[in-house]
Amino acid sequence: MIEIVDPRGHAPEVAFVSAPRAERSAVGRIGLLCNEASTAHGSMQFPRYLSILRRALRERLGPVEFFAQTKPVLTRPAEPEQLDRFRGWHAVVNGLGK
Amino acid sequence: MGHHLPQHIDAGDWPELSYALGLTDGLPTFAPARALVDQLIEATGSGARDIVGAIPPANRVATVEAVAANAAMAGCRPEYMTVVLTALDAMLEPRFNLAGLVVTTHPAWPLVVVGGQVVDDLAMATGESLFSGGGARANTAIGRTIKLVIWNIGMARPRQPVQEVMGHPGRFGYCIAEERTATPWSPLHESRGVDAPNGAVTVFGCDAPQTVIAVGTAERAELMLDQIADQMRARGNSNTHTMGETLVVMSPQWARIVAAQGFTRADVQAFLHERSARRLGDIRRLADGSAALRAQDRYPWWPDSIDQTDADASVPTTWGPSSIHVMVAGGDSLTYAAVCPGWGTYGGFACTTALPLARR
Repeated sequence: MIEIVDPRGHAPEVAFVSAPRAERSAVGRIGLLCNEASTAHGSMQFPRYLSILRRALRERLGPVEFFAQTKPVLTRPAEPEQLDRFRGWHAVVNGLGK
Repeated sequence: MGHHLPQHIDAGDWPELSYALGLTDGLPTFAPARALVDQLIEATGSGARDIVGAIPPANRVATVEAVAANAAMAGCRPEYMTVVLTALDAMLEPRFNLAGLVVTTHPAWPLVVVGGQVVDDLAMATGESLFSGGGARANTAIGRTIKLVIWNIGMARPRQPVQEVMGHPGRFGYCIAEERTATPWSPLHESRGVDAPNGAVTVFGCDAPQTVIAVGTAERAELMLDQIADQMRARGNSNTHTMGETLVVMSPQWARIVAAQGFTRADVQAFLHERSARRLGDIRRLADGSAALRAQDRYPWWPDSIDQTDADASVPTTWGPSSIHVMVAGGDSLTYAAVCPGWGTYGGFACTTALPLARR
């Protein structure tokens, strides 16, 4: 018999805590955090996809105000000041891109 | 982590157990036996519980012990551990964007380039079969350790979350060493401003090597370099659209011929930067083949110096001459070179770190 060392490391000690889910009727301002701004480097359908997303959310939630931000580099996390601009909004849809 | 790893096993049970628990990417591994892992930890001079960092994409915590366990699985000897830890430190620099590099659709992977005294100390291969380990244990084991750390601690599994479309053979292990004597130029790390008496590690996120042969160039330096530049500016290379950095590896003979005709490394970098530029209208096209010059076609990551409304604008494939990392390695026989395109503007940028003078 041999003793084995687990190669998987361990989970981070600080776990993420999800924000409480908002009541559907209370959602009136939704942020959209996009990976890309144009059709230049991804799906040609991205602007149409965003339009469909807005329409679908309005159909479910009623009148909704949207605020879109595009990350400066699509492969990196959003800048802190960008995230600050979403402060006070009811929900943010993340990871929008090709 | 729902899979239970027994603390004690029969040594012969390890291969099947490692597959059953998903502790390998498909290649067989050695058992991370406590006695061996302890030797590897001892060689680092660090404590078993010392933290190396959070390994993406899962951001689980890599302790020195966990890294050593993966190193044991990969076949590392204790003296390889300094290179392993130095490479991991470099990859965890924020500018390297390891999290993005590992999960991207693009087939880049952190290449570990080892240079200087440590190449001799670890009997690393610098010649034939450079990109496939060169038959040297150190090259292969160090590259495998990096892969296994990202696999087992980072939990980087294909499809979820790794979205890489095509893959890259180097993702099994991607480590090369730089030629020390049969080269006309200083080591890569010195050219990058890093003084490293014991040697240095450069990590660079890049594609698989694309080989270039100097046939049809009459061994004239300008034509040989133009051959490399032609490979660098291929339409499908990420750099052609997003710039960034590129690695160029020249065989010793290639480098000697070029150097004998008066080219320094800086001259090579400047020449390649200029010659690998491409006409904008050839890079970005509409469905009818004409240049894509509309506002919505604009690449926001290109510098303002490029007029994106001009189809004849010249677009470099790298940010500048110093973004072309030139090194010498490979079999000292024919004039071959290799181009390893980077991950464009997104990350994987070269990070060079000197090995510590004393053990960690």
